Amino acid sequence: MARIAVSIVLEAAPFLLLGSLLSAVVDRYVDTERIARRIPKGPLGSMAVGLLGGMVMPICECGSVPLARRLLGKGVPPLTAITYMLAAPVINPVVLLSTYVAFSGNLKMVLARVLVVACGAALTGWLSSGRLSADFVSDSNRRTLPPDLNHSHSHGAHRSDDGERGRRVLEFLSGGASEFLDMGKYLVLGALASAAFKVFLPWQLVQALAGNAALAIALLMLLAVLLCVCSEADAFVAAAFVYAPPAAQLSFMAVGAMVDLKLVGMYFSAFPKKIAWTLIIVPAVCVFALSNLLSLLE
Amino acid sequence: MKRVLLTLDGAFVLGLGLYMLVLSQADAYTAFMNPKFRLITAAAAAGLCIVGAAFLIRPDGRADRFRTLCFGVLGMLILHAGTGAVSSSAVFSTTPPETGTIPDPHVARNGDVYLKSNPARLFLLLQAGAAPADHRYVTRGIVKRSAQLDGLGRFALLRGNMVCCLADAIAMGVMVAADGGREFQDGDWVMAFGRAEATPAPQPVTDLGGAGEVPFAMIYDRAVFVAEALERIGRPRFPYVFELPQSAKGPARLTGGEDDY
Repeated sequence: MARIAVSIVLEAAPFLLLGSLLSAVVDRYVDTERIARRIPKGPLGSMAVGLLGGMVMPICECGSVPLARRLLGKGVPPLTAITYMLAAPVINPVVLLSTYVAFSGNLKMVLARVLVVACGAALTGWLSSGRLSADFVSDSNRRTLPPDLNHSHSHGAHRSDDGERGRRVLEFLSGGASEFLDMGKYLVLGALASAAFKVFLPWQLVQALAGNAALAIALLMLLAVLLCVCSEADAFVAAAFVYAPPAAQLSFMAVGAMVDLKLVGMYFSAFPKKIAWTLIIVPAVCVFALSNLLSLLE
Repeated sequence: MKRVLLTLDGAFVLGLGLYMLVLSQADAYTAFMNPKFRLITAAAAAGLCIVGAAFLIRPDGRADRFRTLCFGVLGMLILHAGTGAVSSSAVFSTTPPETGTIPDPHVARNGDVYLKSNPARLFLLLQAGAAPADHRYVTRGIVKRSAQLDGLGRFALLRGNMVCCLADAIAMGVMVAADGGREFQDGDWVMAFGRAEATPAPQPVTDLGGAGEVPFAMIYDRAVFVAEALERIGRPRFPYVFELPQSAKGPARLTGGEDDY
């Protein structure tokens, strides 16, 4: 069990660090306000930018949370940032290719995965956007970053003094470590819980219950949340559930990248409670409904 | 107290970085992760060392007892995890197995030549239509039985295949039909010599469950591996394999050294 938990941390740590450092880079060096001004104001345009962002700038689910929080804090519309955060781990070439291969070239499964995740991400982004005040996000950012990082542009970011520059670099790196630690604690807890479920779950019971389509969808969604499988590999795990109908396999792949044990902790750490609940419930309901709908069409 | 907690946090990040750095250069890495991620792990390890050191010099943010406790637990897990099934003498080998000398991909037996292929690779070769019926293979894996397979007079031969890490490993393999196959039980390691024959129709097996430490298993259901001989063997030094689907279309390539078949 310890080895499984450590392997999850080893797998996710690079992406969490990348997300933490990207978050700090966005805060210091990227003029996101300018980018934010260019994002279409209408909901469809904002959603489209979030989904497109996932395709051109893919990032693992662990890294997408700190990055999305930073983008929100820098004025990117919530609809775009949240849609991006949920869609990016799935709607990217690497994950779609792995889905295609895992399901022996079944293009329908790939398209269904894109459809379900895109709908879940966009709907969650839309429902979150009204509830997410920019002030609250900014406040939460200030709690985790040093004052200099939050106000880098207004307090002499371009000073030429070497000592000052060294201090700023040190603060930038230390801020990255702080963000990593804040999110990393949920990664550790999620990995531990996931390893325990993997070892102690009665798999024969899971198999027996997976005969009914709706029950199988709910069951595999629950498994996806509990097992914390990386989005690059989850298609292979889903394909291994040969006893479950394709719609249930789809639901496993769709929900796992948006909601799992480690992400739940990160959501509550990064966002207000109401938003965190929205990020958990809406994708789950959306995936459940769409998977059931698709199972009827099979 | 705040200073102590922040110092511990920095030490944990630095320690995690050092651990990942050492592990990324060791054979033991294959007990946790697919070796294709070595470089990513090493790069992240360097990054963690740098940010951890920076945090130790200039701690940032608030102290959080729960956070420190979580990383303390991670430290204990790492100490407890050890090196998995990889033999301890190989832990600090400077040459990772997948970059070692490629061994002879064939095994000769009673005048016949068999191509080495682990069960997961055989699965992928069959799926890609790249395992002609006239090719002989030698493959090693764990025996897995089920009621359905027993009814067909077969058993499954599986090998844990790490796509990314141990947590998402899948036991992949083939159905084996052989005289005397019933003497092997769940969990036995077996070396099988034979060839794959396509079945007239798919024969999905839905009661397979997991195999060994791996809770997920899948077997190729459109062919059966007709074994000419079965030999009981010990657990290989590297029990896991790291087959990626795209490699199935390429030439015979061993990714895990001598043990990778």
